This record gives sequence, structure tokens and C-alpha cells, in this order.
Amino acid sequence: MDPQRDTPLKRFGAFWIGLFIVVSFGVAALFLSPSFKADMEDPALQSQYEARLAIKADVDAAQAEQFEFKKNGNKAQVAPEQAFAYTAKQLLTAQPKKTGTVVPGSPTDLKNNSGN
Amino acid sequence: MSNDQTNTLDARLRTAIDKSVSNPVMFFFTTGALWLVVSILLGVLASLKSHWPTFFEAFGELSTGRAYVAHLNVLIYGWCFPAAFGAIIWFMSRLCRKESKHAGIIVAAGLVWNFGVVIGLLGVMLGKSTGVPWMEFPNQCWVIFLFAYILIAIWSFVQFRVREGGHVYISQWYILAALFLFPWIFCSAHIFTFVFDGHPVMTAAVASWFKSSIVNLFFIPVAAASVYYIAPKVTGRPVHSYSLALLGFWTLIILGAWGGIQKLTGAPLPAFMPYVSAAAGVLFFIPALTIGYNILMTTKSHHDLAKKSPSLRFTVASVIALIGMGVAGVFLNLPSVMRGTQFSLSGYGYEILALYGVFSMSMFAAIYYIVPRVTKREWLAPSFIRTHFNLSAYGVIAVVMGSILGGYLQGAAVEAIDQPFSDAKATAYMISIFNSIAWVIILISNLAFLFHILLMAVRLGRHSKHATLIEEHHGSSPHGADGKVNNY
Amino acid sequence: MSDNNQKPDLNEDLNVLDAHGNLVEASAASSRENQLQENGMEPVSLWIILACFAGVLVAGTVLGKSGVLSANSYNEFVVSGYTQAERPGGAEEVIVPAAIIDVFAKKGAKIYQAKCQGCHQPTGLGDGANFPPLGGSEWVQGDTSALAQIILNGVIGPIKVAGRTWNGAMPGQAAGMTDEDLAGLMTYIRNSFGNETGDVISIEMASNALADYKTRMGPAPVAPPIKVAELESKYMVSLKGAKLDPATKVNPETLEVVAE
Repeated sequence: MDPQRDTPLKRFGAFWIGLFIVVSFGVAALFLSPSFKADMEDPALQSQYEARLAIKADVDAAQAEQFEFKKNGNKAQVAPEQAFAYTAKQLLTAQPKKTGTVVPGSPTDLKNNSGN
Repeated sequence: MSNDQTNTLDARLRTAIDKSVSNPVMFFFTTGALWLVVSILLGVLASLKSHWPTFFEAFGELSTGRAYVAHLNVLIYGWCFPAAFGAIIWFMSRLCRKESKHAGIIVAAGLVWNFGVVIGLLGVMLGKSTGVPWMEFPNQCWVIFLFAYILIAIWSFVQFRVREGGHVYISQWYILAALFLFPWIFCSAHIFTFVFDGHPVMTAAVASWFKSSIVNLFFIPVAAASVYYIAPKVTGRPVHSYSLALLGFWTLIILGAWGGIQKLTGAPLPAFMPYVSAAAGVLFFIPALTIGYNILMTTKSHHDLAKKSPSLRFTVASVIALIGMGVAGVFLNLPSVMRGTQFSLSGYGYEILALYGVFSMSMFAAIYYIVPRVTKREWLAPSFIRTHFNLSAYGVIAVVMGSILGGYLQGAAVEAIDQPFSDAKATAYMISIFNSIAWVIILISNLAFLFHILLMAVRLGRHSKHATLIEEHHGSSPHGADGKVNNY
Repeated sequence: MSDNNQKPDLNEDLNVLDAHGNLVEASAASSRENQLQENGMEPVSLWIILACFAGVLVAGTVLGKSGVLSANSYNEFVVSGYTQAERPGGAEEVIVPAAIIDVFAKKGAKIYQAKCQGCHQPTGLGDGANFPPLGGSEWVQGDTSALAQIILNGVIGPIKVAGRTWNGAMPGQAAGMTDEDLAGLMTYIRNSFGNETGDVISIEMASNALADYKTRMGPAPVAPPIKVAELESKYMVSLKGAKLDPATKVNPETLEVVAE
């Protein structure tokens, strides 16, 4: 073994040299990043970007509105997950209503028809 | 000093070095083998789901997309990198003839790396993958990986700087190159994809560049380091040609960074980019051929050794796979072929050839060589080693040939616009089934390997002076055909 | 070998390297290893050089395919002469012209389903209490301008339909109604539910009706429902427009008249 090559100083130096080489890649990437930026400042396309973004904002707002709580006279608009439980309970406790529908073949129907 | 004393001192130094790196090396190899089995299980699942979508469908966390992504990423970050680290640490320590004084830090960093892989796998399974090929682990993971890598690998560089004077071995060139190329490639790709707000098409180009560069400039160099160490060491002969080694090294380093973007042919990129990458892919044939030829000529007169010694067998297999990878690179990067295979299974076949056929086989060779030295026990069962080798070789040949050739057929069927598309689907279907069977075979082989290495890790190996060889049973004595003590 | 009784660090003439080496017994595996030798200096074989040049040639052809460096190489990768395959079992879709009355009625049926069916019922006979029937209604079968204004404005106040007085409120249906929609709807209800006027409201007539509606609307965003008195004073006429033969053939998609 050649002890003169292996000193703590050399080891210390080698550690920092290695670390520096690794970090230099990140630094180089930082310096290269401006050239990597997308050419987003094209004025010809700017109006298109804005139109698209405006439409997207409109759609997002309209969709968000659907989920808001709103009162409309004696009705209220709530988010779906709040309405499901309430509606389900209502349906469970509701009684069948009398409609004007006549089931064909029922006594009512026969009575009506026989009267015609 | 007499030759015997030198030998004894050498052997003692080697043993001291092995002892100092035993913990990190065994940690990386054992956890790597575990992750390898996990990744192959995921690969079997992904392959099954590609032709049998309802298999295991209730478990949404492992749907086709997630299983495939998890398979490839766990293979790379869970097995390939840790195995590479273990090999780098041991090779560098031995070649610089320096003990490692930082085994504790390396093991801690290795634990952090594995933690990163676990987070990554969970992230992919829960749907948080980033969607960028080979960088699919969630964003936190690559930072963890980078810091863990620095703490694992910087010590090898320090060892190189304070090495005993004189010769720089070929393996050391490759390891040194890999040590610094990895952070450059990894940093650049991840920073330009995830940190900087670049043009999305260029981000796609960076991502596809990453795939190719990490193979050509990290995995292939580490594989080359392994084969350039094991072949001369086990056979006792010098490397065949120094100039050829020099040629292979420099062509690999120079050409390796130009590839990858041919995956994006037809994308709105400057047209020269995919074509330069395709040309670099064809030119990869040169380093592949030179490394392969060099190693094969080194082991030329030792066919019997190659049959008996597990590490040499795996080395020769890896080198043949490397030549195959070079030929496949030429074939797959021709524009006339690429028009069909660009969106087919051929890309997957080529990746598996690189990751498993070349790299993993060379890592298995290194593991079969290193573990006895580091644990001071010999491998327990030659039958396990035989199973591992044979089934792995068959399996990977099946996957690679099936995927590359099948991908070519699939691409040709897609390109035939006067035939219905279902023809291409039928071709791909057959290839998927073939792949699934092949992956199951590879799974069995690696289960044997995992079991074997776990036994070694808990020091249950054989106490013996003679290496475990995988010769076929001729009823010969363990001392070799003519009673000589084996040297391998 | 140092004596077990002696403490190594007190012994001055101890070779530290030797002592260190003594602490570690050479393992069997390390002992039997070969040394790595000096590299061989075989010259590079000519075959390798030739094979590498072949590889470089192939790479050159690949590069050569890229043409001008920044030109679009899209044509290389697009199959020329690509046309979509014919669907199995069918020739090109041929547009079959149909009679205008059928085309309009079909269109009107859809609008009736969407807008009118809720009150006037799918049978077109109303519900007997609040909503008057359309079948047999003199307003439907009578002057087209009155019918158009009823549809567009809605009706309020008592109205006599089919022998009964109905006192309901019909909302106007002008929102989103185009010329084609109105023409189709009116044609449909005038030729269904038992009505058999057998004529077609053309698109020209419908647009005239919409113009009248807009005049009645004025600056307000929507017109108020119309009363019978107003209908009887102003709108008991036929809509202006060229009469169309109900059997005229039109393109069902574009509603244009197809020359025979």
C-alpha cells in the first residue's frame, strides 16, 4: 500500500469534488432553463389562449354554481350529496298518490268502458 | 516478500475489504432480490391483464395500467439500481484496494432508497403516478432517490481518488463513468420534466431521452464493469484486447447520450432529433460488439469453466445478450422497421433485453461471485443456481424474442390498412399470452434465486473451501476431475 | 503473530499493517482468487473493424433519411393513398329524399315530445281538465298565423276549444325555436292526433310568424301570453309564404328541396 496517497485531507477533498461535480449538473440545468422555456409570448396565439381560458373559466363557474346552495322561492338548490339522503327519506315515507291513470282491465276501467 | 506471503497478505486485504463492505452489499443484493420478485409478480399480473382484463379486476389498485407501470418502475428502482449499487461498492473497493469506512451511512442511505421505492409503489397503486415513462413514481420519490444515491455513491469516488497508485482497471473506468453520468441524467431528466415549466413536447423528448440514457450510460456501463472484472478474474487470463476495451468504452460514453428520441418519430419535434437518436441506436452496435467480442475472446479457451462457474456462466450469457441487444438496436432503428414497431411491443422487448437480459444477468454473475466472499459461506445448492440460470435464460429469450418479433408482426398488421384492425389485435393477443408464460418462468427462476440469497444472507451457506459449481453430475469428486483444488 | 498476552498498542516494534492483517483471517474464497492481470495487447481484429463500419454505414443511411434537418418528415410515416375502408355490408350512405310533409312531421314530433307532450299529452288530447286537446281543435286546424302566435306567445284567459271553454295559462314556447322547428311542429300537430289538414307549413311561413312574434315582443325580452280577443282581431289569417306541395321531395338532413 502507498500510504502517501491516502490522507484524510485527500478523502475530504475527494468528497467535496464529487459533490461539486454532481451539484454542477443542477447548476448547469439552471443556466440552461431559460432556453428551455416554451415560446408562450407569441402574440398571434395570445388571443386564442385568452379566448380558450375565458371559455374554460365560464364553464368552471357555471359548473361550480350548480353545486352551490341557492334558494328559489320555497325551493332550495343544494349539492347532490346533500339532496340524496333527504330525497331518499322522503320517498320512503311518501304515500302513493291518487292519479287519474286507469289500469286497463281494472274494475274502474271496466266500469268506465261499460258506461260508454 | 515471497510470493506466498504476498498472496496471503493480498488474501487478507481482500478479506478485510470484503468484511468492511459486507453489510451494505448484502443489504442491496438481498433487498434487490426481494424487489425483483415483487416486480416480476407485477409483470406477470400486467401481462395477464393485457390479454385477460378481468383477471383480479376487483382490485382496482392493480389495474392494467398501474400493474405495468409498477412492474417496470419497481424493476428499475427496486432491483436494478440497488444491485448496481452493491456491485459498484464492492468492485470499487476491491479494485482500489481500500476498505469502506462508511458502511453505516451506505446502509442508511440504502434504507432511504428502499423507503422511496415503497412510497413510489404505493403511489402508483393509488393512482398518483406521474405518467412519464420510467419516471412514474410520485414527485417526492426522485428527490429521495437523488439524496440517497449521493450518500451511497460518493464514497466509491473517494476510494478511487485515494486508490493505490498505478493501474486503472477497465472496470474502474466504467464505474467512474456510471457514477457521474447517473446524477447528470437523473437530475436533468427530472428537473426538466417536473421542475422547469418547459414546452410539453420538449418534456416528452426529455422523458424518452431519459429512458435510453439511463440504460446506455448507467446500466450498460455497470454491466460492463461486472463482466470486465469477472471474466478475467475467474479465468485468470488477461482481458483480450486493451485497445478494443478503450474503443468500446469511449464509443459507449459518446454515443449513449444521443438516443431515445426515436420513440417520438412523427411528433412535432425538429425532425433531426428522432433520426439522430435512431442513428445512435444503430451505432450502439459498436460498443456492444466490442465489449462482447472482448469478453468472449477472454473466455474463449475456458468453455468448461463457463459451464461450471455460475458467475462466468451468467457473464457469458450477459455478454451474448449484449451483442443481441446491439443487433436488435440496428434492426429496430431502421426507419422501415420503426414505422411498424414504434407503437408495438418491440420497445418493451428491447427494454427487457437491456434491463434483464444484459444488466440483470451480469448482476447475477456479480452476486454469485461476491456473496460467498462477503458472507464467507459458499452457495448452498447448485440445483438452485441451475434453475435460476436456465429458467431465466429461457424466460428472457422468450420475452425478448416474442416481444420484438411479435411487435414487428403486430406493427406490420397495423400498417396493412386494407386488412381489418382485428388482425393486429389477434397478433398482439398471442404475443401477450406468450409473454405471460415467459414471465411466469422467470418468476420461478427468481423465486429460487431469492430463496437462495436469503439463506446466504442469514449465513446459512455452506462452510467450505471449494466453490459451489454447477457442473452436471458426472459423479466426479468435488475437487475437480483430476483432484485439483478449484480456483473459482 | 503477536502474543495473546501482549497488548498490541503498547508494543513499539509492532507492524500495524501486519497486526491489522492478523485480525482478519483470509477467507477461503479470497485465497483461491486469481489476480487480475495486465490487459492483453491483442490488436483489434479486422473483422471487428469491418463489422463496426457496417454498423456505421447503416447508421448513416438512417441519418440520411431525415432529409433537410428541420423539414417535416411526416410524409415518411404516413401511408400514401390511405382512405377509410368501406363499412362491411354497406355501400356509401345514399341520402334518400323523402316527402316534405313526412320530414317536417318527423321533426315536429321530436319537438312536440320535448315541449308540448307534458301538458297536451302524447295523445294530443289534453288531460280533460286544464289543457285543451289539439286533435279536433279549431285553432290548430284553422288559420296558421293564429296557431303560430298561440305556440310562440302562449295563451291566457278563456279560450273555446272543441266545444268547451278552457281557462288555463299556456306558456310561450318561443325560446330557442327556430324557423325549421316551428315549421316542423306546426306541420306535425296539423297532421296528427286526428287532424288531417294535409298541408305543410314552409320554413318561409314560419320565419314570417317569428317576425310577427318579434314585432309583438317589442323591446321586452319575452312577449306576454296572448288573449283570444287579440288573436281574433289580428291573427286570423294564413301565414304569408309560398305554398308547398306536401309531396315535394327534400333532403331529410338539410331540408332542402331535391330537384327530381
